[in-house]
Amino acid sequence: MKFKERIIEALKTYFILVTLITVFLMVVGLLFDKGRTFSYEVFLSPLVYSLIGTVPGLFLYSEKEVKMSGMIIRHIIRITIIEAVVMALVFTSKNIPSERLSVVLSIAFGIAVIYALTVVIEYLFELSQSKQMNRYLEDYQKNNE
Amino acid sequence: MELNVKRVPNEEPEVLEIRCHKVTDDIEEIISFVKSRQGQLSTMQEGQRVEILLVDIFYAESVDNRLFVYTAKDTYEVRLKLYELEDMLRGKTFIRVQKGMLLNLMKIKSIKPALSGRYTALLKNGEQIVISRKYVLNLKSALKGEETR
Repeated sequence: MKFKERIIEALKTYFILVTLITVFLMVVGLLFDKGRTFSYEVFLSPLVYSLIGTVPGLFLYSEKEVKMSGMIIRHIIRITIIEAVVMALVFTSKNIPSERLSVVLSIAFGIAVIYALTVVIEYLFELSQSKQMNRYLEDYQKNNE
Repeated sequence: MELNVKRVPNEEPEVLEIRCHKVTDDIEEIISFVKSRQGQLSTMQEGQRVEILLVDIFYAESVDNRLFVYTAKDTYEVRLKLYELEDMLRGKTFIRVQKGMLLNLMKIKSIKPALSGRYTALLKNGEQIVISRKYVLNLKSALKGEETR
């Protein structure tokens, strides 16, 4: 895959993450810190967290063709890196009450859910692509019979 | 090797004759090329020359520097490199779907996603072939009838 194609893929993942993280922050905020108010800078948070979620994928990209088991291992490595980076941010940020275990666990769980949802959404995109390819395939086979 | 091209009248059949001391790999390659232009692939199987119709080939795969072609039931080793076969089959219904594999688009039953930008082609003989994400765009272009890279 060319670099340009990799960037397009990464941007797609990035914007899926922005949406999911915004929803996640709203849910966690409503659950644990309902009365709190923020300045406009808070709008940056989903953008930054999404970047953290996207960058490892860019660096872990490999042209090597792996089996399904290899693909699953790649996903595990990727989510471990993301969890580690986000946890490092959680414990160093003054705005996140990291002394509350429930908050830390919710964030860790939320990251896993967001990751899984990203994979599902990408799969749905690919499913729609495959339907289109099957239509092209049908026409191609008719034309080449 | 001397090369002669002789024109014959329309009523005479066209013949390509190779006169050689020994059938070497180079000669095999020439034979395979000519056969591929005629919609066939030629190979040796247990000392016998075997002609495989291109329309019968499901896919060709390079394994440990050896090239194998697969039909619905049989597997044949071909004394060619994958890129040579790819060149021979250019413009036909074959396309690269993995680093070491050419797939006959006429033998695909359906395509489905297989995680992380890869797809799986379900073949008409029930086999499943993974289409690497690197080759997905090329496949799409080929299916749309566009020129592939």
